[in-house]
Amino acid sequence: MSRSAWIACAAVRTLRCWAMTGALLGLGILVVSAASLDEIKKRGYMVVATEDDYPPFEYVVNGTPMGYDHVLLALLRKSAGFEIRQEILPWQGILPGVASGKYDAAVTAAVITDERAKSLDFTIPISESTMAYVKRTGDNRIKSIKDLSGMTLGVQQGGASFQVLPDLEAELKTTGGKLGSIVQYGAFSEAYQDLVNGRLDAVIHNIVSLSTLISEKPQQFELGQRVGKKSYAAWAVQKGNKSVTDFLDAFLVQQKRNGSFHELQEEHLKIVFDQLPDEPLLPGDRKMN
Amino acid sequence: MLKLATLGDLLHGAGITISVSALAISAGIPLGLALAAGRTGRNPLIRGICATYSSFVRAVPVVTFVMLIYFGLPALGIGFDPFPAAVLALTLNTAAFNGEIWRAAIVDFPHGQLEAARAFGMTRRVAFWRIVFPQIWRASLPALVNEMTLLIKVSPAVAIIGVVDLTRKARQISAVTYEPLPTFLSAAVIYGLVLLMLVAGARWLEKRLAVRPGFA
Repeated sequence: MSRSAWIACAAVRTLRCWAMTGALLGLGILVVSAASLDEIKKRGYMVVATEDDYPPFEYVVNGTPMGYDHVLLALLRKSAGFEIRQEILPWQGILPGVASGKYDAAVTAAVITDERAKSLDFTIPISESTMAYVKRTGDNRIKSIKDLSGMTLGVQQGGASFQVLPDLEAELKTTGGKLGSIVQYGAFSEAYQDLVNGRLDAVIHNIVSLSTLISEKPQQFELGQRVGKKSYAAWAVQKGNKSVTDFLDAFLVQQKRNGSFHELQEEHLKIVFDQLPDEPLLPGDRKMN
Repeated sequence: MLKLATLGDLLHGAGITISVSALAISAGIPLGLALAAGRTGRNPLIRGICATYSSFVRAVPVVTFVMLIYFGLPALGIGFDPFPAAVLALTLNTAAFNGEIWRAAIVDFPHGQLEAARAFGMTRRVAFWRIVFPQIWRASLPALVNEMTLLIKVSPAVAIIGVVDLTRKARQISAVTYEPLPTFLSAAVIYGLVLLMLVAGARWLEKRLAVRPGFA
């Protein structure tokens, strides 16, 4: 890298860092505590945030919101006894919105991580979100994880697929392999396109998104194995807002017992998780502190 | 390839992009003029406030600013729906940049003309609207149009609070079809057409201003 390019790169990084710090500080100062369940009942409505480009959990087709979480939300609306208002927005706005108290809950498949558990509470898992890899159909070079050694992999910028890389590297080392080059993307649709183009050898993403992908495009993509620690996705609530978490948990446990979970997972996620734990667990099946 | 329904969906997003930008532009230009007037005026307090405002707003990234307005203001008891919050954020943002453009024109304005106007008995207000404004308006127009195009191009930042503009629509569609290329290419063409219309309108206005003195 030339000197001027390096300086420009460093400057951009510094600016980005400042911007993020500024945003966090700004939001930190301006946090309102989210409404408790009693307050929600009193005002007559709950506000939840969902995503718009996260199939099969939540997505939008010709303006209509669809997906696993939307069906669950429709069931929740029936049993809640109060109005549930929904805001649809991109992922980047959802957790700040919940943490700042603008939304009462994020009805989206938010992966439970140590980092997020510091500022958010989670409901019981609605799905597994363990990472896995996908390859081009018929690519015989890759048969299992160890074959990913030295391959070019696509991940999402700053996403869980990026954070699993150290685990993958450790896994590869045990068989004498090493991590190849990594390409980061803003959205997975772009990574899939590059996988088809041959610019990537595999894309790492959670096993649900990949199951949906291969069920839609089996001629192009083939699902590989799980990568890294087992992890779960759940709905997120502002830290300490126990009444709302309990309310959502009661609803979700009921859906799990009456078989709705199984049925909806089969229909929407194209993969069924019958062994989901009854409490939010951190990656690697660790309990919350 | 792109289906007709998908194109309609994209055009709906384009409508949001155009309306958010148009509202922000039409409110941001007079607001920028007010800022510039405040910054070049005689009251040191107002000068300081206006200078701080435009430095702050120009330094904050648009996405951060949009989030600050939508997620932050409710803590002060002022809440907005996403669309008005988006318009407000873009307006406050573009006003700061417009303010600098206006200010440059005001600072450049030949002082002798103003003195002549005063000598003829014009009040400050009359002199501003009859003598100063028509000239700084003409001088600022190209730079203002440039800022308009920049505003349209940063407008996708409003998607962060759930306003589904053209870029967001394209992302939603490509998330379902797994084909980002045709969708984003179509979106790019639509952005191009919008900017082309804006620039053509500005050219026409500049030509009119060149042959006819006055406001347009």
